[in-house]
Amino acid sequence: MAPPLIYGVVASPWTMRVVLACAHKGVRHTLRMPEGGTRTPQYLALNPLGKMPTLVDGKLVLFESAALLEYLERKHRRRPLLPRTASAAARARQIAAVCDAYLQDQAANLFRSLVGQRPDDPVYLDDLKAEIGRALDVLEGLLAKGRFALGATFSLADCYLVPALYFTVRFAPKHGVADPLAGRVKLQRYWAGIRRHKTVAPVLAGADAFFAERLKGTKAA
Amino acid sequence: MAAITVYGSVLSPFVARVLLAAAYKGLPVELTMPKDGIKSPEFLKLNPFGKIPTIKDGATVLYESSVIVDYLDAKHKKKKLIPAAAKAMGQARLVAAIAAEYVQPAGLKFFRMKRANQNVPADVEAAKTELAKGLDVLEKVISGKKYAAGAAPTLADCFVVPALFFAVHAGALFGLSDVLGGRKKVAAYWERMQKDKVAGKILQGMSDRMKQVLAG
Repeated sequence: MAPPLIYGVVASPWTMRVVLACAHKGVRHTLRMPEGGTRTPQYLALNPLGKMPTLVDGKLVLFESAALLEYLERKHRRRPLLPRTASAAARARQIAAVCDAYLQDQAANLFRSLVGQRPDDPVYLDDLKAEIGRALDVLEGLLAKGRFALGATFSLADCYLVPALYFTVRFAPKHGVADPLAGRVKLQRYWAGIRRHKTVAPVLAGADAFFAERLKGTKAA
Repeated sequence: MAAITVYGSVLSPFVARVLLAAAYKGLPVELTMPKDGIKSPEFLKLNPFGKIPTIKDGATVLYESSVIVDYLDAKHKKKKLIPAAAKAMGQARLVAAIAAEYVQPAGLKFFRMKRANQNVPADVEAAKTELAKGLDVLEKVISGKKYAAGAAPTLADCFVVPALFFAVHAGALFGLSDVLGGRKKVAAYWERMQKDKVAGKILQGMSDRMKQVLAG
């Protein structure tokens, strides 16, 4: 069977979650942008919201990153992203949900603010930074000791936490916060390790290359 | 089996998701508001964001409704709400995500505007447009069967039912009389769920509570 096709771009945090899951599980896939963009009738027929990522796997078409992740986890049993026990799986999902609800969009707004898609006035940015700080404090409390978010093994939590921290660490300094993880020892140690992990590093390198190109010639470069 | 403590109120659509999941699975819950409010130091220890729902199940404390629903289904194997097959499960989660991300927020906007006594025509129009778009997508992804993702209840119902409650009841506060109009599958689903033994009871609770809240 042909490998699944994922419409998206690795520098999108929502796509990155899915790419990280595939990388961890060793699921071969093709990642590309929809031809003509996300607003073509062809693409809207797949995903009426015109967003990314969208997965096409044989006859199945799915969108919303959380649905994609759970689908991949259920279909490809090797190297699971979710622990077997209800309480450990819930811990992974708890971290994922906090990233999703309180950090990811806020961190992405740090980037959007640089490119004119969000305000760049101090009132907006101070609120944003405060929200990000609160989410980081909560994550610091939820994080296990060890290399990964849950401790010893890569999980769904890492698929969410890595993109959220990537955006935080990459774009907070452009807004005057040199070290956004400062004072959060577990998160600092986690980030220092995971960004170099063999599953994660190539994915982040892909995002770095995207943003280097995207921001070329702007003051945010 | 000791009842699971669910902190929250039935009118919160996020809490309703958890109540629906527990009810479909036949799990006893004790629904209660935190004694000194959601921003009290005691409650912030359970959930640092100070939000509902938060659950306590023995030593396990969890928040975020989707996390809780997944947990309940993983812990209690009877009457599974999450289908075992990857494709069916992906579909159920897609329907749930559309309800959560694109239908419920617009419905909630109507309720919040009403409570704040705001009636800015541009805001009302924006919410109507947003809701219409969300419902159009929901119509595309919802099953035409008895429940939102097929013949049996799934987590999709736990998300769609509260979202439609706010679309219909809060939309009506701003003159939307036939909010589901033209979306045949969604409209038929809503009719069925109001009579559904499990969902109907929770919807009644939400409706009663909404009347009380709006009456001040």
